[in-house]
Amino acid sequence: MGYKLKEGIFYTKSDEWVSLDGDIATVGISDYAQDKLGDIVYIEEVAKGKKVKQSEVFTTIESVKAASDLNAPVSGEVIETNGDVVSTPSIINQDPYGKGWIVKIKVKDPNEVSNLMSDKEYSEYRKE
Amino acid sequence: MKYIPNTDNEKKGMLKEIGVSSFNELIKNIPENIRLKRALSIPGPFDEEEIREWVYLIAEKNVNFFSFKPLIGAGAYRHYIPEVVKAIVSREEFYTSYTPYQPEVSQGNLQSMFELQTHLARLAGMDVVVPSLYDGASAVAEAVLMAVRITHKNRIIVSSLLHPHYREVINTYTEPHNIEIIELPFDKGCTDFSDLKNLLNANTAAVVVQSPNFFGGIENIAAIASEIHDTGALLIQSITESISLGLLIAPADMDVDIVAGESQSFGIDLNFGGPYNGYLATKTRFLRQLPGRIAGETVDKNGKRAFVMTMRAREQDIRREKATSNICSNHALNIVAANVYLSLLGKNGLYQVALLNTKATHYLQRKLAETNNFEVFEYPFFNEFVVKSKINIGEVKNRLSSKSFVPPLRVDKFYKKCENYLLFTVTEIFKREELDRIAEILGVSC
Repeated sequence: MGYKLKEGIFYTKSDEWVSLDGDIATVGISDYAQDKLGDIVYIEEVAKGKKVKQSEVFTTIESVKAASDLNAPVSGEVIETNGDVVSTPSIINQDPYGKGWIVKIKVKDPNEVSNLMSDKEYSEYRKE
Repeated sequence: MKYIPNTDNEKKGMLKEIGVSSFNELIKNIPENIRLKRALSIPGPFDEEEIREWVYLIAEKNVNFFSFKPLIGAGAYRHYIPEVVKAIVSREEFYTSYTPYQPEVSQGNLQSMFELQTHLARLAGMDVVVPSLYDGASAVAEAVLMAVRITHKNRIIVSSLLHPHYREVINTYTEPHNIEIIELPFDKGCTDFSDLKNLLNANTAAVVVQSPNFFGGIENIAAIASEIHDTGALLIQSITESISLGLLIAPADMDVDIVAGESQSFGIDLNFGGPYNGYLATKTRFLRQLPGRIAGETVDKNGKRAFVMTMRAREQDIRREKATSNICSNHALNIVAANVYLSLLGKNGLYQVALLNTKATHYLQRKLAETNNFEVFEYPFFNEFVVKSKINIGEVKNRLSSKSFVPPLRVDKFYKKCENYLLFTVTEIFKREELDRIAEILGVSC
């Protein structure tokens, strides 16, 4: 797979990633996802306090090609949306695992990450 | 259009190709109880001459369009349409072509869309315009759904002087959603906003006001804008008579958030009630929640000006059931008509037409007031007004139709309490002498 990966974080089958720091999860989309979407032009801001459930839609991301749903990698409550990517969505294309993070979630059950993939598993999953 | 009949053999061949044994099997998913289990009751068969005669006799029941002048409007207005509009619209490149699936192939259509967007954006004072929805009614229903998506709230407060058909369409569109609709009463010719403060709550998504309203009344929208916005709700203005934009304050200057209009008055014939052309105009920050499609200007690979379909990532063909709306079409030919009409008239021309409409309408209202047969009401109006008739309504109808005028609308058809109320519409097609004659016809005491 010619796409960048980051170690130590978890991936979903719908191409979101999540990193855990205590009970705070940071969520973004993978390098593969940003590449397939193309130029990202819009991300819908998530209301603070919104309750999200693992694998369910929590916001929409729009590229020049299509608008796609983003699914929550873990359940919990959204505590922050990255204002920088809301105002400049192209940051997600440039740095999907860093400055391009999308939301922070206060995690309800850290064990949920066991349903997700490691970087190696994800790499295998997206092998073309 | 050619009529191509199909023979029993051809029908069998088609059914076989689809993989069903009979016509009944083909329609088996249609519930039994709604099927018509007999042949259509069409007379005939007729030979060519018989058909010609039969159709001629039916056509004879019509009156000549130009021999009757309508005093009825209520959402469908007869205006003068310059011949140039028809000449351009009937060019085969516009008239017979279907929306190409690669829209950029049809630069003329896209350019026309782009130009109409520009006209409407200027008239409404708004940043972005969707130039074509089915009609003004579906446009206002889409605006309501937009407001619900934007605010994540579900109470909609609607003026009872929003066109009754438009209110029905809102009800139809919102019925499957969890949306609460509350109506504001009216007083004389305008909405009674005195209870608005109590009805606005933290759960209110939008307030919908038509102006000029169903009674022609010009609503004081600017006066209610801030209290609506204070609760986080949006203000939607519906417009059935878009000629009014040539004269009245632009919606954006009254702090309206979404304009949902009908552009039939811009060069589109009455057409038995449709097809017309709806539009939405709003502010940039609501762009992503707009349904439908927008044309954008760009340059091609040679650096020449070109037009593209843009902002359509949330449409049905891409988002399927998650699309912003189920609008997947537009009235392209009516876009061309409205665009040519507005381009021809220009800013000053539209102002003149609007002024002429309102002057003629006020003239007739004064004349009717002088007759003592009508009670008139004090309220600001554009090109429609309501009166209470002291003479029998059937009598009014007979007097006018016998003198080649289509009578005004009976208001009690839509507002039961308004017995003997009539809604008059006057446009620029009436000459002063005709208005004098109408007042004279109706002025005779019984």
